[in-house]
Parts: sequence; C-alpha cells; structure tokens
Amino acid sequence: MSHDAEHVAEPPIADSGPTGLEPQDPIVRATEWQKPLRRALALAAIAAAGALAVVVVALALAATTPEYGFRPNADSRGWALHPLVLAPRAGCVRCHAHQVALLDANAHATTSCQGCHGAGTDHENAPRPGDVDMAIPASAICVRCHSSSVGRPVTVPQITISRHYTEACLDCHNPHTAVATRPPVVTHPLEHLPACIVCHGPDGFQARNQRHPLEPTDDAACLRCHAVGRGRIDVPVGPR
Amino acid sequence: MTGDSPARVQEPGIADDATVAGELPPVTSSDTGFTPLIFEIPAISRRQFLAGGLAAGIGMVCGAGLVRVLGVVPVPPDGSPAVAGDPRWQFVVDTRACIGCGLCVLACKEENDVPLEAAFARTWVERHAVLADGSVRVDSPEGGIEGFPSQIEGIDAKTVRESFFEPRLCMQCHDSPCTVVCPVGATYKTSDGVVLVDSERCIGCGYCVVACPYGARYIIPAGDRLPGGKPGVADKCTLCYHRITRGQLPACVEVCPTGARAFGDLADSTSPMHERIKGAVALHPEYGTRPAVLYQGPIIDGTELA
Repeated sequence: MSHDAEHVAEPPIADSGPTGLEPQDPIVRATEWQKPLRRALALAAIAAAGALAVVVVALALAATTPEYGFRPNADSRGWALHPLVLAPRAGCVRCHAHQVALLDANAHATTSCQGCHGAGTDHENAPRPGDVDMAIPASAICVRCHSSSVGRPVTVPQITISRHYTEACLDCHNPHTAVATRPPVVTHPLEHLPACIVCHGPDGFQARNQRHPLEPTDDAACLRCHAVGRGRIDVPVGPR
Repeated sequence: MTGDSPARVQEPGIADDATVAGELPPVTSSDTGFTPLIFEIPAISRRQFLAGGLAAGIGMVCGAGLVRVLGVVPVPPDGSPAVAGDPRWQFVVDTRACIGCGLCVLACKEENDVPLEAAFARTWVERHAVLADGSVRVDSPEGGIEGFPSQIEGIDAKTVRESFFEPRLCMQCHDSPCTVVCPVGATYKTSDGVVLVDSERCIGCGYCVVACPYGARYIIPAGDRLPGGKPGVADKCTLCYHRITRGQLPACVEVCPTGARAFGDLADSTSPMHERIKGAVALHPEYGTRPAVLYQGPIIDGTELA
C-alpha cells in the first residue's frame, strides 16, 4: 500500500520536466496523482469512523448504565459518610473533665474513655441521665489487661484471678485514679466471738462501702480480704 | 403544491410519480443514472480490504484512547500517583506494646458493624509463642475479641520461651493483590492510599479473599451487621475511612490502651508518625505487596525474634 503510494505520488509540478514517466494526457495525469490521495482520504475516513463508533458506544454506555462505570470517588465518599460510633474524646472531656483529669494523672492516662465505657456517640447526642447512659464496666474489662497471661508484657501489672482477693475489682480499685482502696483489716481479737456476719451483717454494722456484698457468708470468706497483712490499717492485732 | 391536500405536501417530489402512496416507483440505474436504494458494492482488492480494516482498527484504538482522555468511562485509579495535598496515612503496630486486651477488635466491630463471629474480622489479634524446642504456636481465640486466656491451650506455660501479641489488619498494600484480581474493579485504591471495596459493584466472587496473603478479607454474611450496607460482598478494614477523613483516629487506635497501634498522616511534617516509623518493617515483605501498615517489635516471620 505505502509502496504504491510512494511510487505513484509524484506531484505534477512544473519542474518535474518531460520525462518518460509523465503521462501525456493531462486529464489522465491528474487522475493518476490523485489516486493515492483519495485512497489515503478514504482510509482516514474509515479510521475516523472507527474512532467515532468507539466514542459513541462508550458515551452511550456511560449515559445509560452509570453503575457500570468505575466510580471510586463516589464510593469513597460513601465510606467517608458513615456515621461515627466512637465519639471524639473532646466530647467526653466537655462534661467529664474531672474524670479525664484524674485519668491523665496516672498510669491509665493512655487508656481511652470509650475503651472501657463503650462507644459514646449515642450518649453524646442524648447526654441527660436516663437518656442513653454509658456502661459502668464490669470486672471483665479490668482482667482483659490485668490478668496474668502468656504473651503479656511484664510491664503491665497482672494478677492471677484465682489468687486475688475478689473478682469484683471495682470494690477496691478506682480505675480513674488507678489506686486501690485496700480493705480495712480486723483490728480486734477473733477468739470467743460469733461469726463475722452476726455483727457485720445486714442486721448488724453496715459496711461503709455500700457496694460491698453483704450476703450471709462464712468467716473464711470475710477474712480472705480483711485479714491482717492485706488491709489499709495494717497493724497486727490479735491472733489469726 | 399549495392546492394539494396536506398529506401530499409531506411527500417528497419524487413520490409525485407514484401511483399509490407507499408504493415505490420502479427505478433502475439505466433510466435515472443513479440507484437510490440499491448500492453497488464496489469490487475491492484484498489489499484494499486489509488496509481498510487496519485503518478501522487504528481508529478504534485511537477512539479508546480518546474515551480515556475525555474521561467518558472512568478507570480504576489503582497505581495512580497520590494527589498532591492528599494525606499519606501511616499505620504502625508495635508488638512489644500490645497486651492482648482485644479492645481494638471489639471497637472495630462496634464502629463498623462488623459481624461478631471471629471468621468475619476487619482486625484481630494473634498470640505467637516460641516454645523451648523452637516451634511456634499461634492462637487467637475468637479473634481476641474477649481478650486472651492466661494459657495457650495445650501448651505448658513453662515451655514458652518467648511470646507476644500481634494485632492484624488490612495492610493497605501499595501493590495490592486484591485490587489486581478483582474481576469487576470493585476493589480500588483511593488517592490517599486506602484500599476500599465498592459494595455496589462487588459481585461477591471471593477471589480477593483468597488472593490476600494477609487474610484480611471476608465476605459479609447475611444478618443484621452489614459493614457496607449489604450482605454477600467483600469487606475489609477501611482504616475507618469515615473517621480518618473527619480527623479522628481509627476506632482500634482510639481505644488501644498502650499505643501498640498508632496512626497518623505523613504528609503532615509535624506528625509524630515520622518518629514512630523509624525501624518499622513490613509484615512478610517477601510477598512483594509493599504494605503501608508497618510493624515494630517481634513479628510473625521471626526475623526480629531474639
């Protein structure tokens, strides 16, 4: 094709001179030189038609079936519009600055409010007491980090639950100050006395900490925490 | 023409000769000099035919190029360079700091409505233990959502030479296999480098789930908890795209009590992440996926084990 075009595409310009190759008839000559041009034009038209067809089909597809287009921008916007569930920490601080300040002053400073209390956006939107209350965490939250466990870095204080005083962590420990209120110890003799519950039970003395369980129990259970050597007033008094 | 009936006015001049409307006059090439209805197909040579075909092909290729340049049909932007001004999200995991509390797993499920079963997780925590005989045991009960039991099941704690927790999530690979294998282009990469799944486009074939070497993907089961809004499609960690684009931390980072998970924007020159990523390495760099999530401390492939 191209070989043909090169061969015949001799322009009929005056300086080509009377050579043997030049056709004698001017009309025939004109047709001869126009032939490759017409051929090129025809091919260009075919190519343009092909290109146009592709563009038209693509436009038609895009216009009629937009869901078949790749639409990363629209989709990532969709993901970005998901609602928050965990509220920004600033929302907690707005009302609970006191607790946050306590927390920030001790080893629990790096913990997040919502790590223990659960997601807070609903509470933030309806903060009045009784609307959407935040959870007061159970001890299960404490032992997530503080139970002795294979793999846990030794830098984290850990307990063996079965050897700890009680599984009700919050009876003694304040998680916001990371300080444990150690149980008061028995400072009187235990000999010749009735069971603890007789004097300290529901019908006797009230425990100062009203969250403390006061179900009837045996002395061994009481002394597990209140025995000398474990308490706040740790003076050895009386026989054990 | 004005005197004719309205119906006749509509007729072209040539139809005046027609005896009955709708019936075409008999026309031949010999008496009119042209053929209005029947084209004579010109005889063309094989060379001309091939040349025409070649020209049409070149034209169609050019047309496809034109379509792309004009943006008529958008193409998935995977591999495109980050847009100037976009954040460069960086996630770092420090296995020395992780205490295996599992609050991250819980927070992720809560934040993103991920099904609670361990098999459907955007993030999970593994416990790796190197035993005295050099063998490695890995456990991840329920993905760590309830924390970890004190012992690895069936392993005497005395035989554990070294152990650590390893939080796992989507690695947001620069060369992500999941994006490459997706047959419908549902998985794509945003200009700020997060691999996301278009759940409207996903057909749930699961190819990406098996293609991901980090096991970071799952197919959303039928139920109430639908991260992308519908079941039967692929899902994975989005780096909490709705949080990070609002200037918040991903949920898992937000609740992490020890800073074992850290997140920031490297495009921000004041970000502490510039310090944090020093010495951080990819998990399984031999996979060649160039993860954006990096690790510090001992990691699964053992290269950093003492």
